[in-house]
Amino acid sequence: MFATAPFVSHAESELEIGYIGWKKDPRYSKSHLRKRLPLQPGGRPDAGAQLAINDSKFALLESGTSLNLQKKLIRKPEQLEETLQAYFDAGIAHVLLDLPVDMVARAAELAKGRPVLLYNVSAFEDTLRQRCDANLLHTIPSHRMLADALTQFLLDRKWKNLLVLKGTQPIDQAWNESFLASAKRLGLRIRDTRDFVLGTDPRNRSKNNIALLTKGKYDVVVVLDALAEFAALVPFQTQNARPVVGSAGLVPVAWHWSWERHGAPQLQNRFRKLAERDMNSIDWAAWVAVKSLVQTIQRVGNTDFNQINEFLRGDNLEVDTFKGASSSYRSWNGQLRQNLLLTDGRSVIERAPLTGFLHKTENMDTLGLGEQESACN
Amino acid sequence: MNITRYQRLCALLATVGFIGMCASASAETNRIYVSSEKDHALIILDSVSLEKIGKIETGERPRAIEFSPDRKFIYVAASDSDLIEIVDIAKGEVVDELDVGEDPEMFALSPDGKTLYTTLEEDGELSIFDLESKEAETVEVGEEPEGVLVHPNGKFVYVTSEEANLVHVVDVESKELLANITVGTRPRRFAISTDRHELWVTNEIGGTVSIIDTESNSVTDTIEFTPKGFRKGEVTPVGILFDSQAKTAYVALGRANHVAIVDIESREVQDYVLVGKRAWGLAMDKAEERLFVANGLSDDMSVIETKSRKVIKSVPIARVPHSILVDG
Repeated sequence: MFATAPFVSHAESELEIGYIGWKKDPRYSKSHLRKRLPLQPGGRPDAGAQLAINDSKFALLESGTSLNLQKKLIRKPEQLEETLQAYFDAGIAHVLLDLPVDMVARAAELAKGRPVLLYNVSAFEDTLRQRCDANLLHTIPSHRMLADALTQFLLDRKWKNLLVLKGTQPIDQAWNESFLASAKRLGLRIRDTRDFVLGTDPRNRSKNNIALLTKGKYDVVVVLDALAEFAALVPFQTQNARPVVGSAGLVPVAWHWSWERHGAPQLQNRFRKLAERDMNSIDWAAWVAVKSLVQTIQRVGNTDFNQINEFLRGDNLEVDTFKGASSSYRSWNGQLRQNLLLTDGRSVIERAPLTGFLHKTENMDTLGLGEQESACN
Repeated sequence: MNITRYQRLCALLATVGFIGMCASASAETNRIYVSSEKDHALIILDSVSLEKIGKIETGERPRAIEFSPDRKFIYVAASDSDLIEIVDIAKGEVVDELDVGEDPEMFALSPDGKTLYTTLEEDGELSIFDLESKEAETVEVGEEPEGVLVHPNGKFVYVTSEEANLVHVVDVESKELLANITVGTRPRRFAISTDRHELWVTNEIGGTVSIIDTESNSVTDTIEFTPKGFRKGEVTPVGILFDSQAKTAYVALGRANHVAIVDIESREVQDYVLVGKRAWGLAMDKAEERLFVANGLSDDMSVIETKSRKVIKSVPIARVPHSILVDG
């Protein structure tokens, strides 16, 4: 359905954008996609990038530019190097990465010192934001941003005593660390942190039985589960009548189909027409990455890499995220600042930052690692 | 169309609480119509007493509303019904519907009242609808077209594309785009002064107003807004209205819950008036003594006295008030 043109040279006015995904990424397995779990992909997010390209026709009229997406799914992690190299050789300066954390880090190493920009559209880990690469941008929110959206909500509701259930994968651990830092900053009390394991083995029931896992006193259960499979089973199975948040129940996301303000329904409908499914956070991240590039070309009036790089990462970028505020990339770690949505899967219950959570310069910077906490200073 | 001293007196009396003395004493009907996006109706109020006096059911999600030139009908963009409906005011009901295209939001009538220009958000098109033959033509524009304004000379139509940050100038005769003017981020709506050759457009996400010189079709100035207690990101201008003398502009600042009052000549923001939540739609009475503001997220309408620049009343309307028409 999408343009997957081979490596050929085009007219001067054509700007190529690369997309790299990994074929065996477990998030994209058929059985996983079928479950339609929160914060998981719904399909390959190049659909989001393609939508932004389709929508760019008039915005890029004056600069005489047209965009084209080159999609590449690598079979093995080792193919990342040759794929990126082929992009570099073809002069492709803007590449979307839809890859797990290690491969994003590897891509950033390979791109070091080159006139290219990488856009991370699906890896949540804060470690990537702390790498301080000059040419790695992140449009998907970080774990810390998701955590801050949640903890603001919990504090606002005065649900201060938390039981944390976490998975045992490195990514779950990463999310847990980000969550701990966030909870600490807002003064929430973590009553206990328990590891869960997906399964039915009775010998392991202290880790796979939700009723047993949720004994004790707390106001709310926070379940941190990168693949969201276990988390999906937690609501209504807790020992106590307590709400569930995190990877199930109330989930912080970059995008949700039920969001209906700021032009969202039109964006949803255009995406549905193109991809035949609802837009989700990762689709949105790919869409907004290209959109930020489109806006930059519109404002600088050409496709010169240095001019784009300077404007794109500067304070004058005003990306319309369709979440109600204009966004730009954080100067210290390349993260796109943005509002987040808290959804129960049916509706958007709150938009973060919540009212009353203020920052000295930019309220959206109450979400995620601030300039002071950043390792990149 | 100067108003009589009697009407002025009536409006003044209304503001100080002498309700009902002047009702239906003038040629105008003294009615206010407000579209409610989520109650699918036009709410009717008495413009003197500001009391609700009725309701007209419409199609789904009515947004922009306009009088026909003879003021006997109201055109209603029923967005989710994909129709422009025609309300017969005397009958108090929808009497006709126009199939202009998918998801109409804003529209404008040609000065002769014969052509309806509608922005179709879903398709990225401007629909040009001949009201006599009932036939539609379309012109492709940037995604999410919103604001539409017909130049009073009837020759040009201006259309914003929210997605492409452009104002398109459409030639009515050839139906071609004469110019695509890059403005601020997410341009929404217009006001025009033909004497000054100025077209003002609100930029919702940019938080500004771009001023376009209609002779050269280029942006000559930008106005920023800084209402007290609100950050730049919360300033989201949408509705805009000039007084009939083109001396004063009123700009509804959306999430910043204020209406800005701008001196058109100097471009100076003279005042910010606190209104309800997410102020968008604006309208004035004939005497230009009262400004009405639709507050989409507090389901009410603020009434500002233009002389004192103060809110004199806040009237509950219905769910998500969008646009306001005043007859009287």
